[in-house]
Amino acid sequence: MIHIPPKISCDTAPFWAACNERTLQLRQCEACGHIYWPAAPFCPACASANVKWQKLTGEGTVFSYVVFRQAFDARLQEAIPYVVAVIRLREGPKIVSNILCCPPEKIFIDMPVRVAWSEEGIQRVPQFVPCGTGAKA
Amino acid sequence: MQYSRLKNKYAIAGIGYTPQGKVPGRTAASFHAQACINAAKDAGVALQEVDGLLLYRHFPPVGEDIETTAFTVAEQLGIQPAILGQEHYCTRNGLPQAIGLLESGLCNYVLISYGDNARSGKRSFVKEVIGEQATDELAAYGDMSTLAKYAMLARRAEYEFGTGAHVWKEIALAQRAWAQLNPIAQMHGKPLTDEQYENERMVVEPFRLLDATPVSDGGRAILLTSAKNAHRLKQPPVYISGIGFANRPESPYRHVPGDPYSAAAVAAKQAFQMAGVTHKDIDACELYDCFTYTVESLLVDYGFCKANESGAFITRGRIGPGGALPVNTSGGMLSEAYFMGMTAICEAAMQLMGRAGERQLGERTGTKAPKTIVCGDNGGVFQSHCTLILSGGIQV
Ligand SMILES: [Zn+2]
Repeated sequence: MIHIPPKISCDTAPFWAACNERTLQLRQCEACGHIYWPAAPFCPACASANVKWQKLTGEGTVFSYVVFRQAFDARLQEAIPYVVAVIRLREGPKIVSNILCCPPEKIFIDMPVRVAWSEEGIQRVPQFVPCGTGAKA
Repeated sequence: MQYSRLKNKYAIAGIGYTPQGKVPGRTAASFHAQACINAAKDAGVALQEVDGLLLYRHFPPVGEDIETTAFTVAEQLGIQPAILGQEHYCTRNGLPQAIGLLESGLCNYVLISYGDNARSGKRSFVKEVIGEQATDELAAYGDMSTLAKYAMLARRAEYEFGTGAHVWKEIALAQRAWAQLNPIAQMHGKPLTDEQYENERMVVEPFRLLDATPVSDGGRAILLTSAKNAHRLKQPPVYISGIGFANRPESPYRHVPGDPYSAAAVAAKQAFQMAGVTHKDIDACELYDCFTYTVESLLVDYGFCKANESGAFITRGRIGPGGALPVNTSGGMLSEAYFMGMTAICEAAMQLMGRAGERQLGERTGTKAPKTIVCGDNGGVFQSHCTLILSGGIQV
């Protein structure tokens, strides 16, 4: 749906490489346990440089969301309306992503979601779909 | 507080306007220069005496324009200030820098200026993509524009506190009503009805187009100096009685509405403490209003109302003309003009100088003449904040 490749920096390259393998991994601090996004070489909680990549379950809930009714880039025109959300992952951190396979009016805050992966071809992007029994009828 | 001794020590001595709204055929630098010339003239200070020039956030040039730098503007003004500065990214440093420069003695007269040709140049506030290329990761999710970031926090506030379009409509309508009293406001002569607001198209839900500020061509400047100098100048001084600063630099998706340690909450607390005033002493609020929800969020962060009571508190009757707590009396950015923090600060100063014409607080608008006004200048997405408490009509 959205075909704009992300700008990838040397800090975030391993995150995006793992996405192409359908793996959601974020930086975790070995000193204090803090898991964070976007990736950076020092822990924002304790400034430790001892940070590793940690695979995550890809499960979470919707913290907030917006519905784009206007395309701010020509490449997004056909995706309208689309949903951008802040997902609170089960492991704690919040990340920005999309919610797919759910009409915008059925989305609600705290809705359980799980990661789904965009198609192969360009950079794979982690996106989220509703899961579990929490979805509103 | 270490800097409370600065209370009423510095003042706004001059305000500079330019033609505003849609003003084609102008460079951004020319608006800066014109605003600066007019602020110095307003104060009765020769431009050559200006020894500090600080520009608001640097935007990339639009249309035919070239880069605007502090060098360009100083060159156009024909001045050689000891100190030149320009904010690169919305960090709201102009006022603290100016006060520091005056207090240290490095400067005696500091101009703070904003200028842009955003309206004629059709400036886009999408920065996640430039041309074909993404500038960050968010473009991959289609998370474009500053508007969407504010909308995301507004949605969460809806869920947590029960706010929403019914509150934001009051803000949009109240500010539009103020603009009807301000002949230079972009929305002067264009009153807004409930139906118009309700039927407005959604841009990024939960925001309608009317929840967002239009952009403007034009510029604004203020001249800051010591209270001692200001007394000798042309205008009645507007004293800086309280000032506070805070930053919460983390990305907007990590912010939580109602956070008691938000940048605005922390900055406001400092400013009120320094000025030694309470909310009851505030005669009007001039608050950063890039979006309707921003005004609500700042009124909550400043302690005027509780987050879950905004629906009852924020009404057109209270914040509009004739109301008990006038908010954004020029129309604000939503209905007057978009000059970032300068829209609010200039309006507060004009009101305190008694120069606000038909919208002047006092007899004309059925309220008391203002002595103390609080201003909020917000940067980023609630990431940077400066609160000012300004006083007029006092003997220092
Ligand atoms: Zn750590």
